[in-house]
Amino acid sequence: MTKDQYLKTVSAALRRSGMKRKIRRRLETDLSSDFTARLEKGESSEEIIRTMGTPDQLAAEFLKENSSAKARTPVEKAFLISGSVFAVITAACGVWIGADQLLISRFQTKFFNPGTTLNNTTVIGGADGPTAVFITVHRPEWMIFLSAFFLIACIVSFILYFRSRRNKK
Amino acid sequence: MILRLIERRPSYGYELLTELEKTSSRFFSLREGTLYPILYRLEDDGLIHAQWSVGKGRNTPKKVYAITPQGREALARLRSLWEQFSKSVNSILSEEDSIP
Repeated sequence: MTKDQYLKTVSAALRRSGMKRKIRRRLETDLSSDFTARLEKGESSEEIIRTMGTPDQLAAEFLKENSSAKARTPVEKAFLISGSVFAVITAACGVWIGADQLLISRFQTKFFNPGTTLNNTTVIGGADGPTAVFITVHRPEWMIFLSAFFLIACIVSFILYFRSRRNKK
Repeated sequence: MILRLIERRPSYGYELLTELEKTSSRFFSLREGTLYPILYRLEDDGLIHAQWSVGKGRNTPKKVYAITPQGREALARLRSLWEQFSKSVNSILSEEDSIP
């Protein structure tokens, strides 16, 4: 394996390990500089690679000594993003339910006497006799269940995310 | 130890590894994966800084680490601490066992 091939494999291994990009670039520069210096001293590529270790070994050793170098893995990113999305949807459902209830109560106070209980149908009287007005009130029960679902999904996502980060340390 | 080696002479990574192994009679044998986290911590704390050495002849420039003034102060403090520590440990270990 040549120097460039080894360094490419090392770079891929460091990316897979979840190392932060800034630290990965720093390490790649140092390894490349060391490799070149050793070649100039007369060492062979094989000997250099043997002593540096396999790319996965090198990445594992580095991260063992420097746990803060690890960035979020793709799985952790997925938990964080899904948790955030669920949080936004839950908040949106909450706002919708709140706005819905507010509109209903405003409609109620505008057209009916205060204290009138909200039924799905209401009869109002007209000059020429009673006129039945059927008001269909939208009860957002399904919205409440939906927002409860997204709230639970949000909580579970964040729990999984924090457990994943804790297990990494 | 790494700080002390860098104080003696600005060095690149592999040079530090070989120097450490040589002066410790192979007692301390590190690899790049272990050495570089130490170097980066020292650099982030401002005790050493990295620079590119000018290549001589056909030699390409190398990234070397040199000690900073704060690094020298820290090294002096750590040395003093180590001397106290090793003196105390030696004192305890060399004490005669008390006769019951």
